[in-house]
Amino acid sequence: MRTRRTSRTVPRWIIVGFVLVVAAATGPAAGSRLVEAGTRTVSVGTYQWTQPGIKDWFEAVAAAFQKEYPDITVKPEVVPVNEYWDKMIVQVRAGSTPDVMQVNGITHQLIADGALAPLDNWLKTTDIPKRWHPLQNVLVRGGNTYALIYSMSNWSMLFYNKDVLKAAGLQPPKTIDELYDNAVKLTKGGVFGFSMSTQQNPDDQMAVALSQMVYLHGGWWAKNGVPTVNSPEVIKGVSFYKRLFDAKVSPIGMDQQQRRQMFREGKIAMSLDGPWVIRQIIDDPAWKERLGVAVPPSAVPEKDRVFMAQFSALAIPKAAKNKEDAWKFIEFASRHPWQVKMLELTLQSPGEKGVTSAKVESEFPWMRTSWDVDRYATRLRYPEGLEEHFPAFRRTLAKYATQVLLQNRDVSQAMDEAQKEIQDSLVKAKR
Amino acid sequence: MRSYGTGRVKRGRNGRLQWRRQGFFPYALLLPAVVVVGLFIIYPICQAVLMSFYDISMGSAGRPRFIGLLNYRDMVTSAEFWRAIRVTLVYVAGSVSGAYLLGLGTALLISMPLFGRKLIRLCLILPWALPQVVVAMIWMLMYDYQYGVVNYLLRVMHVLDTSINWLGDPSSTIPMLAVLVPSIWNQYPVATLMLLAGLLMIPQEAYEAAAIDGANAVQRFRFVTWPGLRPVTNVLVLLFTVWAFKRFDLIYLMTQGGPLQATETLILQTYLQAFQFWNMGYAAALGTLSLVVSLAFSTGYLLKIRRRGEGVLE
Repeated sequence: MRTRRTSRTVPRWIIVGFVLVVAAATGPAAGSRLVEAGTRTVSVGTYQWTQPGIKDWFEAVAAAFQKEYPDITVKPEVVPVNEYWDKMIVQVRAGSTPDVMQVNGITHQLIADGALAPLDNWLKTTDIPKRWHPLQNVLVRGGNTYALIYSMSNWSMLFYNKDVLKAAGLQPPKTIDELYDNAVKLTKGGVFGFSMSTQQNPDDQMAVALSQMVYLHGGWWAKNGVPTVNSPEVIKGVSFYKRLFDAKVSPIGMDQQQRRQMFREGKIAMSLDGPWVIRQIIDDPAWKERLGVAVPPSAVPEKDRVFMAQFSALAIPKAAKNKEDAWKFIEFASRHPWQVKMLELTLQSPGEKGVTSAKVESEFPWMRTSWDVDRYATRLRYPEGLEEHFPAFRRTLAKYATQVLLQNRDVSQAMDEAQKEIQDSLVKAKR
Repeated sequence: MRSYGTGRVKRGRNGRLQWRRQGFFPYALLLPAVVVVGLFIIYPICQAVLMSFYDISMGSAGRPRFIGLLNYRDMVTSAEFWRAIRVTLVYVAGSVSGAYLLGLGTALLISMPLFGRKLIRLCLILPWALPQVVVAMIWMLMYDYQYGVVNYLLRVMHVLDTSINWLGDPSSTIPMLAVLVPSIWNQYPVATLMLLAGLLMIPQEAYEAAAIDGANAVQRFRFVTWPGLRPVTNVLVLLFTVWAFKRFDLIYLMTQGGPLQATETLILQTYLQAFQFWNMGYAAALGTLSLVVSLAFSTGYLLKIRRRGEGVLE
C-alpha cells in the first residue's frame, strides 16, 4: 500500500512543479513586464520577414524604428508564404488582423471587400505621393490609396547568355521580330532560344508570359474596368506567343523554376524575367562574364512603352487595433534611406521612384538595365480596374491561350470567346 | 459479469437506480468521443453546408449574403461542373479498376512459391510507402517531354516517333492516363496485401476438391479463388472508390486539373473555387455535393452487399 501511495504522489508533485515553472515563465509575470514598460506593439503580418535580403531590411527597419519610438515594439507575425493568405483571410474574417499587413497578389480583393483602411489622411501629411513610383497608382481605388509599395520590380528584363549569342553571331534583339529570329536561330544542339510557359498549369505562369508578350505589343487586359481581351494589340501579343510556341524555341512542359535552372545551365539562351534572377545566377563566377541583360524590344513607340511589374506593399487592415502606430511604421519604412537600403539589400527597387545606388551598380552592373526597365514597369499582370477578378480572369485567359497553342485555334476567335466568357463571369460576379 | 447494455436486463430490488447507473455509464464513456466528433467533424460539415447557401467573398469584411439555392443552381447549370463530374467518374473508375486488377495479379503471383518471395513482396509494397508528393515528383520527372524516361523508352522501342507531352497534351485522354498511372501505382500495394491475405484464407482443400473434379486453372480461379476473395474485394472497392473520389494532392501536384480541365476532378474544382477564386459559398456547395455523393455511394454499396449476404466486415 505504502509503495503504491508513493508512486502516485511523486508524479503529482512533478506535475504541480511543472505547472508552477511554466506559469512563472509565461504567465502574469511575463505579461506584466510588457505593461510595466509601457510598451505599445505594432504587429506586422508578413511572409517576407524571413526571406534572404528582405529579412535584413525588415530587421534593420524595425530596430531603427524602435530606437526612434522606444515606446513601440515591432512584433513580426511571420507566416510561411504558402499559408500566408489562408491565415490572413481567416484573421480578416475574425477581425483579429495584425496592425500592418504585407500585401501583394490579392490586395485588390481585400480592397473590394473593404478589409483595408485608406491611407490618404496620413499620406497627405507627407511627400510620399510625390516621391513614389507610378506603379503605386495600381493601389488607388475610388480615389483612395490602400497600401504603400515598399518593394517593386519589373518582370520584363531580357536576360541572355552572351556566350551562346556570340557563338551564333547574334546581338541582343532590338525589335520584336529580331527577338523571334534570335530565338529561332539559337534553338539548336540541345539549347532552346527562349524561355516561356508552354502549358496551362500553373495558370499564373502562363498569365505572366502572356502579359509580357501582350504588353510588349501595347495591349491591355482591361481598361478602367472593361475587359479588352480581344483588342487588336492583345491579339498581336497572343499571336506572337503562338509563333514562338510553334517554332519550338522553348522547352515543353517546364515550369518557371525549371526553365530558370536551364538558363543557368546554358540550355536556354534568352529569357524575360525579373532582376531577382541576377542574384540567383551570379553565385557562379562564370556568369559574371556570361550574363547579358537588355531592355526588351517593344512593338510600340517609347512613349507608349509599358512593361510588366510586381510589388510588395504594406497596408493597414480596417480591423487593426493600433492604426496610428501602424502608420508610423509604414511611414518610417518609406523614408529615403530605407528605400535605398531596400535596393542594396535585396536588389529590388523600392517603392520610391528613381532610387539607384553606386554601390549596387559597381557590384551588380546589370542593375543599371533593371532601373531603365523599371521606368516603364507601370502595370501588373492583373486587368486594370478588374484586379479583384484576376484569378477567374487568369483561368479563362490560360484556357483560351492553351486552345490557341495546343489546338491551333484561330487567335481572334479564341480571344473573342475569352472576352465573352470574362464579360459573362463579371455580370455573374456583380449579381 | 457486469453488463453495459441498455440496463434493462439487470434490474434488481433497487432496479431503477441500477438501470440509471448502467444506462448512463456507457454513454458517459462515449461522451468525449462524441464531443470530439461533433466539434471536429459534424460541426464543420454543418458549417460547410450552411455556407453553401451564402455568397461569401474572400475577406468578408462585407457580410456573407444569404442567396438560398443560387450556388446550387449555378453549379448544375455550369458546364465546368458537369465536366468535373465526367472527369471524376473516369478517374475513379480507372483508378479503382487499375489498382484492383494490378493488386490481384501481384497477389496471385506472390502467393505462389517463388524464389525470393519475401523480397518481391517488399518491393511490391514500396510504392504504397511513398508519400503522394514524392510519387507526383517521380512521375513528373519520368513524364518530362525533353528528358523523361517514359518518352525515351517509348522512342527507343519505336512506339513513338516524337515525345508526348504527357501532362500538357490537349487531348483529355493522355493527361488523364498520365495521372491514372501513378495513382494506380501508388495504390495497388494495398490491394496486393489485402488480396494476398484473402488468398491465404481460402482453404487448400477447396482447390484440391476442384482439381479432383477436373477443374483447370481458369475454372479454379472462377469457382474457388474469386468467390473466396469476394469479401476482401468488397472492402477494397469501397475503400478505393472513396479514396479515389477524394484524391487531391497527386492530381493537383501533377496537373492542377489541366490542361483544359482534362484532369479537374470535383475535389480539385472545389479547392480551386475556394482558394483560387475565393468563391467560398460555391465551393461549399460543391463540397456538400461531394459529401452527398460519397455517402450515397458508400451506403448503397454496403446495402447491396448486405442484401447479397457478402458482408464486408462480417
